[in-house]
Amino acid sequence: MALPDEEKLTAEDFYTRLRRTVPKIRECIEVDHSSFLEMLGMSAARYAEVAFRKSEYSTVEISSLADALSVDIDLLFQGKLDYRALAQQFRRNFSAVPERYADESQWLGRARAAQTIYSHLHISKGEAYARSYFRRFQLRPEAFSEATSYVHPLIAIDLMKDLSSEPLYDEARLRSMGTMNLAMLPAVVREKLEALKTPDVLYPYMFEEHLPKQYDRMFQYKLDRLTDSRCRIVVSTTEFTQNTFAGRNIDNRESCLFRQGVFSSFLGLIGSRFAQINEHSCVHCGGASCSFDVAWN
Amino acid sequence: MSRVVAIINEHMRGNKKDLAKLPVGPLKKGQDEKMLQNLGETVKRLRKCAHISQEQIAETLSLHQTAVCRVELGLQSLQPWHLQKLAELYDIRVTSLLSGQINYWQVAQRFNQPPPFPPRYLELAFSKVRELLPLLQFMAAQKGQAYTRRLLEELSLDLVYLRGPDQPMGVNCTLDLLRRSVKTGTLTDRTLKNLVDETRSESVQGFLHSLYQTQSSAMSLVKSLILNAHHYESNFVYTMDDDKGQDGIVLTVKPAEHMKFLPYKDETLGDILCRYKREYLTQFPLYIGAKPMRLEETECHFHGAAQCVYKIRAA
Repeated sequence: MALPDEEKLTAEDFYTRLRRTVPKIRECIEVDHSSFLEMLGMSAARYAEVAFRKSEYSTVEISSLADALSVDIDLLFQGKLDYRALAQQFRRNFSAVPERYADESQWLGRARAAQTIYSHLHISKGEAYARSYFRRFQLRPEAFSEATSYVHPLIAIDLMKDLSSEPLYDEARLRSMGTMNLAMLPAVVREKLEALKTPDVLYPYMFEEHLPKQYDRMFQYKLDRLTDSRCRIVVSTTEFTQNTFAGRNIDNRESCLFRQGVFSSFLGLIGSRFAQINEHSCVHCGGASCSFDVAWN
Repeated sequence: MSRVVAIINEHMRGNKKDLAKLPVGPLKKGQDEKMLQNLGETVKRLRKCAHISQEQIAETLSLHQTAVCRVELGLQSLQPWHLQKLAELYDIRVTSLLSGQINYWQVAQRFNQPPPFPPRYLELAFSKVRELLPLLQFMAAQKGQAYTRRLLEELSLDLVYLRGPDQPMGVNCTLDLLRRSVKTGTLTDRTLKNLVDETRSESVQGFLHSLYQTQSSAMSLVKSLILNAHHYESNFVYTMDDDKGQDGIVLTVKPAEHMKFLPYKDETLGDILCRYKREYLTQFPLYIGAKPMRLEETECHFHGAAQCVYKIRAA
């Protein structure tokens, strides 16, 4: 029986779904019945009561299960858990990701963006919040411990999209979050960049040497109109990206703002204030390409 | 049922003695009383923020009003379906409802209600909650958490409404807290350093922390601090010039235009803001383990000048 849309969901539909989800979880994590009851904080008699529809799962029982599995309670309520990822994460494979992000041939983004978002949340709202935020997407921060490893670009896109719906995450804040990327740069790279001293030397180096090797494989970054006080950066998707994703959207406005923050932060390496960003055009706002000026005076 | 209502009504009026007489069955095995208590407080706060009655909530959840009251008192849990409905009503996540991590400002806004903050602290909102954090941590360290909570209560503030560090608020909030800590003798010349110590942390500096961590010298760190001061508060304008020949900088700190409406240098506060800034700038290199700066004040706004002027050099 198919369940109705979320909006028309009745209490009965909701509990039917929950009664289907809970046993499915047990099946996928392959634990014995008594261990599973312990996770739920239920007695066998109480479990039977629910199974025979004489009662429903209580909030405490569902919370207890969600806590034991470190899963998001909303995903559990909505029956949107990815069972394959759940099974692997339960076996302590924390780098397991849901199906949506699993196709390795599409891993063209860097883990650094997810790391930056995690650090940002950790600093501004605490570790518990940062972890629970990643749980919304059935992701574990441990999956992003290597900044330079490749991950699916949709991870950063999803993480940022959801943040932008939270209060205070306006355009300026999303750019600010991008500036935190600076702290994630490997020490070797940072030392090299620190030695460049002035922005008009730093930016060409970034675009010719650093970005092609250290940044993602989805976009090409072109440095344009370099003067002693500003430069223009033009971002476009590579042909490889277009072929890989076959027209599927792997960028959004939030990522564009985040990227602007990343580029403005490079000046921090040479002891200056973060550069000022003047956006020229953005694909996500109807522009032909994403381009913005970086000004340092 | 009427007896329950009567007792609860009495409780609402402040008489808590009869609460023990409530005909409450034992909590089911495994139920966490703390969770019930927290959920109850969250449900109540949300309702107050949205300015809706217990009756309206009861109707939404198809429950009796008494049940809603019991939930708010932490005496009864809500079923999963009720949580789902409440989350839909307030447009928040069930996870947030259970964890209490809710932005009440946003909830109030959705229901076209004023933020759950005293109106006095919403005027001239050029400060950020971030600015309060060191002060709150300082007071908790000096006088304890209970004292800090009580003090906030006296100012009609609640810690749960101070969770978003970048939430804008009026400088009056900081000034009132400063005034209290001066009046009660918590903030003195001797303890000012402790207050400043609380500012050098990730949680207070936010995204600027990563910038500060990358600075290789005390002087470049202080310059970064001054250049980015506007991210922290916009009540004072910072202008920096090189102090030629002295290998240092000259910093001018001027009150912003809106400050003329605020009593930031009254009898109680005196020149505390100036002393705080001096200590803050001097000690800031400790952030990266460098020696404190040398600071000389050549003009003081709090002693008659239009601005404060500091000559700052590396030690």
